[in-house]
Amino acid sequence: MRHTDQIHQEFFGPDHVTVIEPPKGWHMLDVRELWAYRELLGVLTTRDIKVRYKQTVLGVAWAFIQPVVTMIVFTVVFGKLAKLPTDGHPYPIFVYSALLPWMFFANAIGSAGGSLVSSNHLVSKVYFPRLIIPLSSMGSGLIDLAISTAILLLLMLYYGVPLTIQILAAPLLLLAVLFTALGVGTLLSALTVAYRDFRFVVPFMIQIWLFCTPVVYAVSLVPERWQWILGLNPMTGIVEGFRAAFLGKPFNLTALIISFLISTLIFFIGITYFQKVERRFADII
Amino acid sequence: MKAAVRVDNLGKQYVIGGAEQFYRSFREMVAGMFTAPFHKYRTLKGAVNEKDKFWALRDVSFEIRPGEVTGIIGQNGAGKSTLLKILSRITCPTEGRAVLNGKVASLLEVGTGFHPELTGRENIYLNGTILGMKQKEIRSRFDDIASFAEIEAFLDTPVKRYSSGMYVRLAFAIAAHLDPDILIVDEVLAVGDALFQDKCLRTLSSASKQGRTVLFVSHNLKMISALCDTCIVLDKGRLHSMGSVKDQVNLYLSKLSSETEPDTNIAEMKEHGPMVINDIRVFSTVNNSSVIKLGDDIAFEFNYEADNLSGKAISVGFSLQDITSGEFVLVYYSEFNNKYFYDVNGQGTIRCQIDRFPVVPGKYLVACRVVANNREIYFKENIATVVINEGDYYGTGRLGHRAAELTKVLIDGEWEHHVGETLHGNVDELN
Repeated sequence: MRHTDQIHQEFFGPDHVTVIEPPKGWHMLDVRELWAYRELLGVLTTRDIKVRYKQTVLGVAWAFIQPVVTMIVFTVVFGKLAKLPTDGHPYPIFVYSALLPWMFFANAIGSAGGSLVSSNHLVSKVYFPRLIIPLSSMGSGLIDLAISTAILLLLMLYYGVPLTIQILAAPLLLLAVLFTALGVGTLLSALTVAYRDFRFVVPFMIQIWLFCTPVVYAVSLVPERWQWILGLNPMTGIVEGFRAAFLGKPFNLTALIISFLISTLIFFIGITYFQKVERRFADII
Repeated sequence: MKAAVRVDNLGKQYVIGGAEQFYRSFREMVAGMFTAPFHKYRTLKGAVNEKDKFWALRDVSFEIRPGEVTGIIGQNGAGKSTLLKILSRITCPTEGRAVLNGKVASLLEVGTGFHPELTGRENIYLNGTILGMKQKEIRSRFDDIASFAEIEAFLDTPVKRYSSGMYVRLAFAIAAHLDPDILIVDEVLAVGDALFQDKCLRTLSSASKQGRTVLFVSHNLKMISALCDTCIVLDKGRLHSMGSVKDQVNLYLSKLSSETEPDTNIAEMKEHGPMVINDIRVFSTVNNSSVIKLGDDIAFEFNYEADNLSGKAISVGFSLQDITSGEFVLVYYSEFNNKYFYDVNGQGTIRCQIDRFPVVPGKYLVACRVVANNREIYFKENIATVVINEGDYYGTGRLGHRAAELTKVLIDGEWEHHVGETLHGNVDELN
């Protein structure tokens, strides 16, 4: 506690010295500064949560409707009509346990992508670490994730799928999906400022990405010699991991590690690119 | 003593917007569709021609001591906003360096980040945090903020239902409780009603008495004079001069009026549009003198040069802007009288005669605008200055009604007194 107050003092105290200079090449992410501004991150996240369902008739019910209806449609189309194999699980549970991380990821990168452009009134009027904006835009998705997890638990009760010890891996998997979303989200938000084309790219990309991830189908559906391509998609390991955690299947550790390594790579590319263009935001936004 | 703000050779270069492509023919348009993405990519990446770059600010150096209130003045495009944006760290300088010692708060806008759907209470926390306050600080100052803004009764109403006055009051109240060492303020006091503006001014000057360093941009020279100790004059991105506020404001005023020679270079002006006002004359028709007294009959004469605009409905208008306060005193177009000119072609003069000119003594900047079929074809600010001297507007032989301090325009009516009789006005149409 003492230490965090020190950091706050360092950035907001009377001894603070602001040195303003032209940007020079690449610079590292200032984690201390980000920490000093953590209250702003909290306030902006709560703002998004509060405002999210205002002026809607159904309000928070949307947090139930979206995943449940998606699950029903997928169950009818891919489960009943296409009869995709599920390695022996009821299709609704099979698809829903994968939709959980997927919908969080898709919403997070979707809202992060446009977050800087839609916050231009802040970016052009006041200073704070710009990373706060894409970060805060992802926060409200966590509430939705909590709600849809509760629904999954109810569904499992209904279908008589028992919880196993594997569920303990869920928090770690949650961290992994957060990490991946952070990397992709910051990268997309910075790209959208520089090239508005990405406003069209992002929704399109999410749609295609969904089908490149084993959400509606099982990895086993893909011929074995091509499965490694699927593995390059960091969401593959995460989605399969969630499924394993909830349905009690064995984890595919190799897939998880590859996913994690690729996520890390994307995370660093995202943050680095963001840092590079961050200082030009106000001029081009 | 260490300077509160120290600026060394600060400069900011911008790229002129977009370099949009105009397609002259269909063929070029089709070709353009294929090459444009590459051009665009290059511009977005920052690879642009030298001629598309310009310096919004260059070689600006100054120092401000702690506790000093410094005004920054200059015409539009002088670089005031760019300077404030750099010092607020919203944009980076292209060259140079600035050092600010102490906690900085910048107010480039009132109510930054206000969310219309959130209540006054929620917005106090939101905006306060955005401006750099800790939650703890906001909590302890919350009641002061609410009472300063005079919105206690509406704390739980979404701000979208606030009147614009309440909105501005709330926004300023939060800013007034920031407690920084260095406060950077841009023109934000231009909003709100006179009473509230006064309150803001008092807050700002008390801030300076508590040892805060204030940097203040405004077009209102009266406000600058009242508030600041020192003043910086910026001109075309360069530091023109710096010194005591009185000297600088006077210098700026004389500079403004000396620069208002109308453009004589018609060839160059022509590129801007089909019609150019190349000379403007304002004079008293009482004695055909350029010395104008309050209440004189005066004339505005606009000499123009134009392409063939026959058949177009031309309306000419002008405005007078008080040079010291920046306030617009009047705007007058020929179309207000349903007067349009249909035969503008080549050279000519449009003349406007005004009897008993009612604008109080002072110095005014003239701007001129021409509209053809409701589209602007010419606009120029600072095309001339007009000095109005003290005069006998009411024809009573007396001068100086001290009106200039209270009002900008005089009116003349007839006064009567009906003793022992109560009038009910002429309300025939209501009966």
